[in-house]
Amino acid sequence: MSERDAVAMSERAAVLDVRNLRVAFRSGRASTTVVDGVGLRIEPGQCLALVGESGSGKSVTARSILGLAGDGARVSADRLRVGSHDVLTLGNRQLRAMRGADVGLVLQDALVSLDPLRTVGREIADALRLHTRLTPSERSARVLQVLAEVGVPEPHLRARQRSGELSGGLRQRALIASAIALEPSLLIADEPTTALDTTVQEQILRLLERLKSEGTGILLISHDLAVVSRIADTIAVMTDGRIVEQGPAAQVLGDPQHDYTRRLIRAVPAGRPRGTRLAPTPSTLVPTSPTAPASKGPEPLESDAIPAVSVLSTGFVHLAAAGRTVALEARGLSKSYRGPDASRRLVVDDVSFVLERGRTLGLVGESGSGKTTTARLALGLTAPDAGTLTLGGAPWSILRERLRRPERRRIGAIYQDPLGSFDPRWNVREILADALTSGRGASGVGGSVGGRAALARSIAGLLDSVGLASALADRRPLHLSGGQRQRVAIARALAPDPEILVCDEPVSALDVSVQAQVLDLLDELQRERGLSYLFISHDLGVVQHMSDTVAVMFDGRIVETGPSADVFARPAHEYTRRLLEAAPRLR
Amino acid sequence: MTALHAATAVRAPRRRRAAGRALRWAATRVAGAVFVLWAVATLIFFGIRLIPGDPAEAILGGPGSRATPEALAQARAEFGLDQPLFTQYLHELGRLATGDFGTSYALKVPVGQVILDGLGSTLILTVVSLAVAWLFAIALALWATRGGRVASAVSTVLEIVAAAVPNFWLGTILILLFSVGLGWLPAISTPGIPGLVLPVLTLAIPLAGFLGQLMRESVLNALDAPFTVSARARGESETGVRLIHALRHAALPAISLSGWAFGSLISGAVVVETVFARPGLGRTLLSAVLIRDVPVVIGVVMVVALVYIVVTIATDLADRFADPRLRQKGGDR
Amino acid sequence: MSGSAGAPLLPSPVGGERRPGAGGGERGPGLREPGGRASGARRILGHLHSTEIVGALVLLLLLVAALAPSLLTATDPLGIAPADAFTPPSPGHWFGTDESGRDIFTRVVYGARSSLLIGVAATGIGLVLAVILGSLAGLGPRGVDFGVNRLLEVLFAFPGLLLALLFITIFGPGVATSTIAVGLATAPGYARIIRSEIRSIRGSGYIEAATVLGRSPAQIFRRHILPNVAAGLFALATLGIGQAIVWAAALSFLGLGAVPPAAEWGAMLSAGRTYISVAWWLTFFPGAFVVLAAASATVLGRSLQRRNRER
Repeated sequence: MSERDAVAMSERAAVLDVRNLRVAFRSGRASTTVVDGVGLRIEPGQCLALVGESGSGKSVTARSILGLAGDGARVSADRLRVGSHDVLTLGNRQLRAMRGADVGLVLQDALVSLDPLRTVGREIADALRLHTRLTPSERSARVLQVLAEVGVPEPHLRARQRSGELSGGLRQRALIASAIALEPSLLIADEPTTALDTTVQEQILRLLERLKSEGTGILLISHDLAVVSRIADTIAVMTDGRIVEQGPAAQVLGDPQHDYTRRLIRAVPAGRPRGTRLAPTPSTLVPTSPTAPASKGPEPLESDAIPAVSVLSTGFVHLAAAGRTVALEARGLSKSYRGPDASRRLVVDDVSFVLERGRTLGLVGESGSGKTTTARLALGLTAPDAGTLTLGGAPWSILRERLRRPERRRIGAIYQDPLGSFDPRWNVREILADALTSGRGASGVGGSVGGRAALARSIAGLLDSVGLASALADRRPLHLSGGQRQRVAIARALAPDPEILVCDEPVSALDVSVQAQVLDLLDELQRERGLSYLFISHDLGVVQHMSDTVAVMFDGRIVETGPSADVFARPAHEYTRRLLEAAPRLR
Repeated sequence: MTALHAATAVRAPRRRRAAGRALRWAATRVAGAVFVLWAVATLIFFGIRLIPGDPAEAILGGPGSRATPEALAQARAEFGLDQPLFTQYLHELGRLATGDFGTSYALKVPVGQVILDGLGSTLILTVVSLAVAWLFAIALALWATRGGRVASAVSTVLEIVAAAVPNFWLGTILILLFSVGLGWLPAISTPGIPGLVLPVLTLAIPLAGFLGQLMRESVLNALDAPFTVSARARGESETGVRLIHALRHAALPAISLSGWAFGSLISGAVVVETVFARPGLGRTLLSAVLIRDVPVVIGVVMVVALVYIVVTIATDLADRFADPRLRQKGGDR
Repeated sequence: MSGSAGAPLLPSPVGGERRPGAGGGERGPGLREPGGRASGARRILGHLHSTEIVGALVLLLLLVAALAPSLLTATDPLGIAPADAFTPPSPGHWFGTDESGRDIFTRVVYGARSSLLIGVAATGIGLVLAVILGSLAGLGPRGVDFGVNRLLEVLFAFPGLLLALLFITIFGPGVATSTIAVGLATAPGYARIIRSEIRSIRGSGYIEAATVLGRSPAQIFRRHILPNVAAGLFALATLGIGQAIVWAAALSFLGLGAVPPAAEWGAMLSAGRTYISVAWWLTFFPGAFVVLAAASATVLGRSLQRRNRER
């Protein structure tokens, strides 16, 4: 066999072959290149993972392959082949014939990626209706078959339900079923597990793995290296529209060549000991233009301007000084809510914990486990049905609101969605000024000239302590990046000089590298100020990295609690073990 | 122990629970309707007592009629005006509950008869207008979402037409154009289809602008939604995406507002029936208001309230039919 | 009363709730990568900008007409000149003359005052009532909210102008009663908007954040709820003026408000209908000015709403 034949063979074998793909969007007269010279190749039964952060161009790449880049897009490539189709030369009708039949697409959240008004059965049958001449009854038979294939129990019942009536795992399976109903040789999965709980994510990954073993080529798009490392044969790391590194998974993860890849890997908190930095030291960060507002779309790469922050080499000095006093203690907390059909649902069930001063208590669990209600109880925003909370040994949950209010400054909060927690009329300065004056009666902002100057100094100090340039004070949060917003939220929480911060999924909405920066910041602040954190997250890796003590929540109860190292090394409860097994990690 | 098993376990009684929910929903709605009707009747009854002057005098043709004291006393007795207020109120409620609206002061015939004479014509006018407005709106929404400068200009114009062009002027302009100018259609609404065209257009055009604008926005939202990306990736054509997915989502807000729209059409009928000299409930109401024929006003308003409530319940029902998500939640919106 | 009249009550269909870049560095597929729709949005925004200017200019002109009509015309709006009756629009009489030879242009200019006055007064009455009802329901305990909601439901059972007609039946026709009637008839719609606005602000993250900071309910009301509702209220009022002008003109048209020979747009239109087959200008111009006034108020109100949302 000549070399040329071999090349021809391999070319015929590839289910996806992309060379030098470029995508640019026109807006007015200007044109922005969002994908720049991307090359990808997937053979049957192979999985290529395209990894990058938001705005890196990975989703546009995926859509260009389907010919769905959008109206304003200019797509060009030296080669863009799906199986035997040359995508760039296909007309609309031929493209439609290709989509669904030769390549399937799975998006992030099936709740919105399947039409919420139609049954999943009809959604899956649509693919068959469009590409085959099956009769309706043959179609519905095939629908049930595909649903069974992707592991949906009782497919005849599920097929008649809508995405909103199915659990997260089931509807994601249904979405996958709709993409593979015609057994396409290529499956593009765009963040297929991002919205899912850890254990469900594991199931979906296993399903993708099985499809791969059955010969489907998979293009897996994700922001999460750990998820990807589970099934990818090849990893391509993308940033700013370019692929900066591509190679066998083990090689890319084990011996990353490019600086950006190294940073990404380093930013993964799972398995990184407490107190180690996740992001590069601030001085090596190149600040991007601070004027690019978030409204222009996702930024190429989140890198907030951070003035040098002194890293305390002394470690946990405050801890030693503070001894082991209790900052917040919960005893036998219970809380139930009335459901829509008048039945009471126990959301928090006999929860007890101790948060020691200067330490972090990690609360980990999947959605619906009662984490957020626990946070609201800790903040005194809702009263427990049973049990008590004490703040520094003094009563807290049983206080009447009028008596609790003056004490509120001692316990602050940061949320998953910082934007929603800011008054939309206010800029950063006003937000911080409000927080600084909150504990001091109704006097409002700055009475005297001296008071005003002091306030301005405090605001600048706060911004500095969270690593934001004081020039940002005049911006509205809407025009800040996600990471900057969370920093402002942290600054606001710090303003009344609290002892405790309740952090409810503070980094879940952030890109990995930004998440790393925010986690580092929280770590530094804890050391500098001796803060105690009640740190809530669904992400085991984040919790493990941040916590001294961990409490695992399931179904409203704490099923296991103990020193972080112990729990993660030797989980005692079956649920903890399952959670740990399911948690993606770099391998 | 997993959530999955739990879900399977509770599925059996699900159907029964769904039926229970539907029943509870229906009961709440009917009770609400009865309450509203009672409150409307009460409000009107006591509101009418605020009218300055002697109702008996009004019955006999107003202060100008110089009725004799004997005639006044007789009228009072005849219409029960000599009874204590609360007795009158209970009487009134009892009569209204049995569908007896009393006798018109001016026409001296039962109000029920007066209403029946006008109701059919007005219902035809409003129902046809609503249907025409819906057709226009769907066409507009589908067309105006094709994108581009023209479409966005159209949407701005729609918005303005819907909000700012009053029926009385639109009707007049249509008469100027099609009756006075072109002579195609009658200026006075004669029985039959040709006589219906201009009044229907007068009512339907602004409403179509409003509904179309609403639907345009939700078509755009739906075309932006991930599920349409999924559909396209499945090989669905643009037309298919619009017809199968987007249109249904776009219809939801328009369906919800159709009850309101029907109410505004009935109220608009007052103007349109006047402009086109078309017999109907609206004109009956207007002339009753002008001469203060109180029983007729009460009767018409009560009937309109009843029709409005029925239509609102019907649209809610249609809403639940079109959007299965509503059926899972509790009764209230 | 026009099928349209309630339209501005409802949340703006245009522009949508799409907050630009809500979540700068969020994860997940970049559904909206650079380019694409952003350019479209800017075009719509730019497009509106010019209509905004036109709307503001028209309103300004009408305001001049209302405050100092003699600046725009030297003729007497009630001056009769039988010899000039039914003059079509011409250089001497821009909008023509009516059956008594009165200059339509002059009468339209003078009509601006009563129309704007009624519009502003009726909107004021409607909004004051609505603010009271809406804040009772939005801020009060559950029982009060329930009660107000039932009351609103009852009022909604009088669709469109029916409530106004009922009010006029009781208190008799006239400019004052029709103004109050329009105010009453618009109040329930506004009240419902204000209530849901307050409710949604109360449920928002920044109220919770303020509570965590230790703000008292009174402070939260003053610092967050009031200013955020007020911004929306201003836009609502602008929209409402347009609507009230249309409704008030409709009542005059029906003979329940201003009465001829008063220079009021609705009344002029109504009077001109008798001569519709011989003198189209009698009905066209007064109506056109109702549309102009209502349209410019609507355009301005809508863009105010949009700006509130986009801040």
